[in-house]
Amino acid sequence: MLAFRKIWGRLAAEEFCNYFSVQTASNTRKRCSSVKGTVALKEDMRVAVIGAGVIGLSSALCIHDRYRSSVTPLIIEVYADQYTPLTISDGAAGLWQPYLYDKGNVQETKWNKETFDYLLTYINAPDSIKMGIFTQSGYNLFTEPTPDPSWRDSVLGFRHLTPQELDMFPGYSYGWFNTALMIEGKSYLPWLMDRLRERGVIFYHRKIESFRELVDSGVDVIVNCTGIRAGELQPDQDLKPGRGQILKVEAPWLKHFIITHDLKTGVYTTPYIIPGSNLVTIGGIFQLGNWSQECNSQDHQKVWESCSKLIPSLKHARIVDDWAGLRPVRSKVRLERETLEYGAAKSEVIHNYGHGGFGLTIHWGCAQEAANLFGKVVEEKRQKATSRL
Amino acid sequence: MGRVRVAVVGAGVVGLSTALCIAECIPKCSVTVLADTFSPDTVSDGAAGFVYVNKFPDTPVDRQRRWLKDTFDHLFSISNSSEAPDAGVYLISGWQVFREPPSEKRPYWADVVLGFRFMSDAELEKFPQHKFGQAFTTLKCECPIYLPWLEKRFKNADGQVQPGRVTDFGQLCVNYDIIVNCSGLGSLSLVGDTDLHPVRGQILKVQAPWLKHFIRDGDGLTYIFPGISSVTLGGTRQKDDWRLTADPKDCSDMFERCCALEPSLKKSQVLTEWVGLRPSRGGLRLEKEMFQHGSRQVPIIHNYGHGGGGISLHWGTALEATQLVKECIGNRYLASNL
Repeated sequence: MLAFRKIWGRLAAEEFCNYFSVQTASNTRKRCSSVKGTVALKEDMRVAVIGAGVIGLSSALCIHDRYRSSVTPLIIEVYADQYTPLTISDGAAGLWQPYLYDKGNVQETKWNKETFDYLLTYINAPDSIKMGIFTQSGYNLFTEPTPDPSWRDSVLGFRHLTPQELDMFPGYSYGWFNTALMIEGKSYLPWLMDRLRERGVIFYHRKIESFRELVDSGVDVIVNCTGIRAGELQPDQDLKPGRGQILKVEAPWLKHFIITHDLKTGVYTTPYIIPGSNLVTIGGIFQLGNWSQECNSQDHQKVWESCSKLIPSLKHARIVDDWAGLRPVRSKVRLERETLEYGAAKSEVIHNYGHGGFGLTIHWGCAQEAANLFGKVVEEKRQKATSRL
Repeated sequence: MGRVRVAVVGAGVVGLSTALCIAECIPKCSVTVLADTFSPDTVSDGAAGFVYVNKFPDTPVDRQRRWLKDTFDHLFSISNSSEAPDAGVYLISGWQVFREPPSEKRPYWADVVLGFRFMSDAELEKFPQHKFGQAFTTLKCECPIYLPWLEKRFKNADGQVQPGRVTDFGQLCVNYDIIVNCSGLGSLSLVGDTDLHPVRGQILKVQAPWLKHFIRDGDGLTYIFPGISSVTLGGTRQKDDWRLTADPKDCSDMFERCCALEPSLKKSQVLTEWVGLRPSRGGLRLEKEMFQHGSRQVPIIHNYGHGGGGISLHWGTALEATQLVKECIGNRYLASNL
């Protein structure tokens, strides 16, 4: 220790680190410094986030916000072959609403609620419109009495529909009304990217072909936010596409979201109408296992007819756009750590994918959990390093 | 007995709806609307079209409630039909917030609107200056779209429109059997009704398409009503103020008040401003009067003094006025057979 202090300097620090075999992909990247008599290990950690949808960008932001002071320097890089406005997050309508029931998966309910509460804090903030955040109320409709959803206490003003309200929707005999939030990817993602750029995060327009590629280049932590294509980096039988097709129409007289449900056929299989800040998204397609990202006229007809039947005034709406996307469906979100070793090279991977049709709804809760996992990685590295002193 | 010739004076929301109601409900009537002002220049056109109404102090509550309910039901069925965008009618939800809890927390119209309830504490957090609130769903009826739609329906029912100012009822008595007076503030000169007075209202229209909820301050002075192509911000209530030009001070004041309620408005683009004079009266005048014209007595059905509740009450008062016209015809028939 004394010897180290006497010969303090970068070269000496490297020798010191080498001597103590501090775990690292590249020892030339490590620096040690003395702080008031104790040896604090200052690591520059290199984090590679793969994926620039809402999950990737928010994970990067959360990690940076939480650890930029304690991990210095904290280098975050984002790798993606698709950026806004071409990601799935951009195509989604942007309504905050999880699936009806978490089926015991209380973690996901917690992450959904954290996201809602987080977004709500921005609702009166100057940036709210730039972020694409605003409130919207609306209807969830059923053909039979249905238990309250897992998110009933997360939203605002949740209540059951009155008979008079149900009269508006022939064929539906039960339903809910609540105020929720909209979070439009086309605005939110650019906002996230601006925040990340301000923090010195670097963006690479590149498809990562393998985890190894990043591990070999000296990345310490990989955050895997690759959504539906996660299987290309690591096979995952549980991950399947839930294909959706939507129409964007001009119907500015519509001020509520309307989501119908058929508990037998499952989520997103029946018509839904979600007004946005500009256009109205109408949909009702969920095809598990269909990898096509092309729009087809059959689904277009189905959506158009079923939504017009639900809301007759749509007959006058001008159709502006068609879009198809693949929801990254999984039995539950994969949000966990994994250590990858390729010979001497080693990295930690934090998986954060499989958010189905509720990516925007759950993103912040998951980003925080990803940051928690990152924190554990940092802690473990520190303990290992200091245990060698 | 030939056709009954009815003259409806006024082509705002009250005049056109009353004329339509009569034309559709009483086939033997031949109805003509006479007015010097038509959409988009009437007072009705500038109003946000939010279906909600303050109490008229001099009209029994149950009568007001009936007018409101009849109007609500009429607009509600349009909003659920494919005609909704052609008529400019649609549902809107939102909040009425109070700085201090009002004496009447549950107003007489609570069961007319949809889903009326008190706001939760969590909801009130969005309005830190306000301690109490009501959440509900009501209707919007935009007259620049609705009035032409009414007029089209009226003409399909063989209604006639005659532009031109009516300066006294006497001139109508020659060609008409029954007069229906829907002249709003015009009744000041037409009828000499000194109970009638203008309450000046100035509004702003801004571009803020992300706003989906109405927000109204219980004091009635500050409100935000999202519309089809713009958001109406208001407002003012200036009694006996006849100024029809916009006041920049009113403008900046109401913009500030609205931004305090909804901060995202700071990012909105102001499109235009407008001033209208609410035809206000202690009580809405809806009654029959016999007008002496030479040796004849011509019935006049008065239907004016709706104040800021023209759109909110129009169909209910149109129905009641139509009923009064029916009674006149019934009496006439009887009289002619005596």
